[in-house]
Amino acid sequence: MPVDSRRLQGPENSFSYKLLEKKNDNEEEAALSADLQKILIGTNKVRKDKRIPSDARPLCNVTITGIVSQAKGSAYIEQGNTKLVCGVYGPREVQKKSDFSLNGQLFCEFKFAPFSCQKRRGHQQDNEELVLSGLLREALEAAVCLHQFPKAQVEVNVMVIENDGSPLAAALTCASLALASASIPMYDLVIGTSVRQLPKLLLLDPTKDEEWEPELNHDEDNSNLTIGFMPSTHQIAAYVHEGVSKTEDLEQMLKLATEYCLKVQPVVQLCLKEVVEKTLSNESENKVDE
Amino acid sequence: MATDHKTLQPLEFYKTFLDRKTRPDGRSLLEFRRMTLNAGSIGTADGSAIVKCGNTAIICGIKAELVAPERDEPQKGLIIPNVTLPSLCSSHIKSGPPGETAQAATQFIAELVNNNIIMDLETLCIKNSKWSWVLYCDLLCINLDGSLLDACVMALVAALKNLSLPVVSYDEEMDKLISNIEDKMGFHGIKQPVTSTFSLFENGILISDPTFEEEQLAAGVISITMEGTSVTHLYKPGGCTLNEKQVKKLMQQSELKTKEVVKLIEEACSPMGVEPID
Repeated sequence: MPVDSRRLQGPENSFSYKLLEKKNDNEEEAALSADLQKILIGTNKVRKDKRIPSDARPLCNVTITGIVSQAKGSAYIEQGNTKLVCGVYGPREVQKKSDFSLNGQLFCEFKFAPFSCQKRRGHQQDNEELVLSGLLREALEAAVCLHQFPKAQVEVNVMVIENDGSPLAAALTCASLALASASIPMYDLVIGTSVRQLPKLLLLDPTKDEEWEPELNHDEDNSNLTIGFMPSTHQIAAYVHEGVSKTEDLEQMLKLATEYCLKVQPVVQLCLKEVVEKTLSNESENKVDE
Repeated sequence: MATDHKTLQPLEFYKTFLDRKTRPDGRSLLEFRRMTLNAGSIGTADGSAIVKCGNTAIICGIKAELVAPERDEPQKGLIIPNVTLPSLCSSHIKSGPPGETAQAATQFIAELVNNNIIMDLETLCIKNSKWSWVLYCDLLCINLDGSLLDACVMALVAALKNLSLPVVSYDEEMDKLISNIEDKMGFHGIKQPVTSTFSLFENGILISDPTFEEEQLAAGVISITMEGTSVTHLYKPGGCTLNEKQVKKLMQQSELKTKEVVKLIEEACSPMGVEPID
């Protein structure tokens, strides 16, 4: 491991106090993988947070302007307890000359804050964050009119402040809001959502406990799907599926996810409309001043 | 017209304001920006606080871990502060390893911690030379608009006050740690240092709580950390000179700010919740 001399490093052998309680949890974990469904869903088909399986957590505290006043555009959203900020800079000059391209480029950085997960995260981007950055970039590239800013680059920075499941889905929605507020030309908004599949049950917008985990759930009909959907054009910009499921189930999952995206679209549009109205009224005020 | 002047001759533009004893954002010279503080809103952190000073926004999250203390200081716990300026927070920050500003800020906070200005590190000890707490305090800047240190210190103190951990005790006979999840505890004796940053201009003009733009234009900067009425730390990296009278004036101003911030932190960290003040 290379030593990071630019940050203060703690002692190497420290461990979380949560490990002290874990001793007799092994049995519990075994029970968890077998009867996962029973644990996640009570007898009356209600999830732990009192949602029915096909219910998503509401988007709240959507703030589009002024979160990052230094950025060209920014957005903050909360989906349940998942909280994230996105800042958009540019279009500006491409820093590396080797990356030259006639079309515009997107640069995406996806980062979890060190305190955003159950386990403490490192400061440097790890593999998971790099993969998520790539997925985010590929999804947004489908929506942004890259030919409108040739030879330049737009930077999209996403920071997860608290992760309680479906971070990529929330990041897609948040990033497209930030891009729109930065007046970057786009074909459509990308709205993200995820679906967790259990045997004979689909959970929309899973929380951290409900999400598919590679170590625990490797049996059949156990998977997680995240999509980025462009509601006006009815196109899918991102499709990330992990786990094992049958093809006919995939169709159902996709249907559930797209239906939700179509429902969210007017909400997101309303947020953007408010921003536009605000900027226009500010501009007209400024003109009167001058 | 005004914007053209601003881009072409930013310093001249700014000085026309200073001559009239005011600033472009409408503040008087020694006025602070509106501060808001919110504690405990991040569920995954053991303690957290969000501070906004004007546009500058800092999130502090604390993750607590356990460790055997270092041999030379067996009765002390550790606080590991790190100030992160992600590329998200300003267009002047590039992505990648932390730059000079972030490293300097981290070092500043670390100095406060190591001088026991924030809290007595011995309270973090569970069992002398066996176990102690290590608190990873990450200060994340969401929006960088000047006076970074002020917001960082405020966020760190509020997050430490908000800290809630299980009671961990050491069983000597079994030689192991026992944690009690039901009982939650915080640490007592967290002090309330408050940092106030001022910018200096060449003709002896002083301004409080500078924005990013003001920091760029100014000839020097000074950060005074006070606890109650006594100065605990003074940081003035280079720049132009200050005379005694000016320092006295700055002390008075920081005292005023200290009172306000202490009140704000007490309100936010009391069970009543969030109360922004002007």
